[in-house]
Amino acid sequence: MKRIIYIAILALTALAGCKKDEAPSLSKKICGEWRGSEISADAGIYISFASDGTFELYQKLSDEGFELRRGTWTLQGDILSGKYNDDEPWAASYKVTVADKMLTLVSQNESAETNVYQKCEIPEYIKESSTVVVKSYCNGL
Amino acid sequence: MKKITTGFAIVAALLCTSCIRENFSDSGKMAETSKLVGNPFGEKEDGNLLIRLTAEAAKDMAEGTFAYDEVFDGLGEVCVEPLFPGSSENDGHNLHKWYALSFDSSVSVETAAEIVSGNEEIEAVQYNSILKSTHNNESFEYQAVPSTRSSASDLPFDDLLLKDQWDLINDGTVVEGAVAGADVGVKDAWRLTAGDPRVVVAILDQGVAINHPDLKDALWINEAEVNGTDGKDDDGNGYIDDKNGYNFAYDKGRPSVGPKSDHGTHIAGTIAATNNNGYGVSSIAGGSGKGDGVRVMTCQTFKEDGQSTSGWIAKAFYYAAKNGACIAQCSYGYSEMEGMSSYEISEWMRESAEYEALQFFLNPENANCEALESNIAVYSAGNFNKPASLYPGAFRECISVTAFGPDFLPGGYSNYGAGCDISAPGGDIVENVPDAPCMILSTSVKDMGQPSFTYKYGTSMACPHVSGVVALGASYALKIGKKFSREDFTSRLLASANDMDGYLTESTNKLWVNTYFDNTKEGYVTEYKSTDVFVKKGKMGTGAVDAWKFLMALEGTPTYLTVPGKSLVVETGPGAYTLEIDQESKESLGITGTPAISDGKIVLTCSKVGAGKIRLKGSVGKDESGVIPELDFYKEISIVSRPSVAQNGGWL
Repeated sequence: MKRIIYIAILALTALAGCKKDEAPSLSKKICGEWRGSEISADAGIYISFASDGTFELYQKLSDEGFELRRGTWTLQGDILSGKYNDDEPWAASYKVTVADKMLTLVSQNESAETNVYQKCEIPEYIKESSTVVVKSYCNGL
Repeated sequence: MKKITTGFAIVAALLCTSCIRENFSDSGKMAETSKLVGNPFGEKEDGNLLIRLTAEAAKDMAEGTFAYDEVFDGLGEVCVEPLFPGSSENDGHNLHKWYALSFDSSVSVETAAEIVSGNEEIEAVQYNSILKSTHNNESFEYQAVPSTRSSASDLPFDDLLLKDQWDLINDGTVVEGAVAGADVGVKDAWRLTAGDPRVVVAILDQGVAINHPDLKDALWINEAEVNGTDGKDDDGNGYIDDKNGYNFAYDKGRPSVGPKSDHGTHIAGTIAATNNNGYGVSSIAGGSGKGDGVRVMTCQTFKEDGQSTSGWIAKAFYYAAKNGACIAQCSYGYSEMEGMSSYEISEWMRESAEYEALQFFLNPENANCEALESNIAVYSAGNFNKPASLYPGAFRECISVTAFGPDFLPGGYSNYGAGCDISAPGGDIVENVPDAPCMILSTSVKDMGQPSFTYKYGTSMACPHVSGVVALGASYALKIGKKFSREDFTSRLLASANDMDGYLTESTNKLWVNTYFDNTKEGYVTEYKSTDVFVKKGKMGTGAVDAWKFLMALEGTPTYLTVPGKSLVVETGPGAYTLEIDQESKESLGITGTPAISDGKIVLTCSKVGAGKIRLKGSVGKDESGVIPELDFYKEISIVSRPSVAQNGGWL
């Protein structure tokens, strides 16, 4: 029973986050597909943040193909944090700003590393060819 | 002499038994004959010359005011036709100035060349050299011997003979002595692409069997001619009924094929035989069974006796460029003549009609694939067990392909060393066996043109494996929306090759076939010989072509993620490289000095958070004597140094 309630609340939150009538919240602005620019452009980074609190991270960090890692994200104020579905937390939490189709993440540790991502559609060939490294928890969530 | 039971490799030898340079110089008019270009030696067509007019004379010819009687006085009845129909000044090349001159064959070609050269309207004269095969076109009929492959269930396509194609997927069990992975690395690549009909490969060879069930759907189609009137040049390109290409050897639309004329059919099958049709063989870029394979254009430049001419090859390159081919698949080369190397012949060829046509094909202005800034020509290195590639393959703007067997060791027959760029499956020679599963299995034709499947060996067979991978690369580049210069594309191909040298650890004897001209018998003699292939270690090009790694290299620069203070190990793969890193990258990553490469690895430590690029410069095909230039190629690696990285390697 607890589990059902939890899912229902999560779904409601997500709906509220992406509601059309209100001024777009930060949470809604994050939703979408992004491509790494500047430093992360070299690394072939694509991220999809979904309104249900899940994300898909496509990265090409070797001379092999793209890898796909899935997980969940949460936003508290303007701090974005998350973990992969293998229970591994992100390397850092990030202070997030979204403006002019640019998503900027500044890591909340002493390095304060800044990475900029541009809004873009993830190419189909990347979705088709990626090797799944970290899978979904369960289907349908 | 032993009976030949080998596969066939077209190696065009310019037949010559006694010609020497002095003979020609002594023949008189040096001033006139200095206009001679192309190979002055060897056998040539009677009553036939290729001539290049001056720009002015070419204009007169086009306008019908050319002084025929004056220029061709003494040649009897003449016929002058454009060598490259449809070519014009606007092409930016000399091709519109080239004409094929036919004259009374009672006049010797030498005399005719001198007469014609004496006119100021003539810029250059070329004998129409006859190129002749020195090998018999024999091959082994597929015997349907049950494969020794442990399991066929994991094969991605349902083509019945794929289980016997070690060249495509070698799991180490498909044939005795096989080594897993000694293949073209295409299985994984097929997950990304299996071809694209927009990529057209011209097969300059014997004709392609257009009715073969495994090839009929893989053909380039000239819609205007297919939907036009037979016997008419519907598209006005100067060739009648060129529905799937042209038969230059017989000057007709339809290719001529048969058991002795199946070399082009075999090659076409390796590149583009239809995949996943439950029939015959699979191919590198033959699609996934949805009509999505690359297309082959038959450019028949060789007759069934293995004979070709300079004129046919020249015409074929121009035709291929003008009609949409982006890759020229060329399993032929100039073999040594008495006292002359392939290189020396190539020096004579530099102003020839076929060289100018090749340059036209390679000119970026004539690129035919949206993903490539210029077309690509792939050649076989030769089957003479010699330490240099044949020309034209050794021209540095072309790719020259050596051959390995299912054991990942060099073919006994394969040329190696100077001018050789990359290696591919070409099979091994076996003597007197009914079946030859260690060779390359592909499409073929029997008597009456019936479809069949045969085994052949040679760098002729290795060459289409590279053409196929290049075609697959072009298909993938189209899919991901990228465009490459030829230099960049070739660099990525060469740098992504697999190591073969690690398998060649000791002396190993393999067979090759020695062919020589026997004056007493007035014919070619062939004999089996054994050779130690250990001498070929490190000289087969950059390594074995790998379709998967090539597609990955096209996808993007490999990036390595590290954190400051931690050492990062980057594998450079086979081959010797020098490392270049610019000051900006060094500063960004906090690297002092230039990292060293040792045992195929770079070990470096970044002291800062940042990003930078490392450029590895390699070279291939080194010639100890310095005659044939080596080919430089580059490989880029990105390094990203981040303050922290998730434990599972995730970016976030």
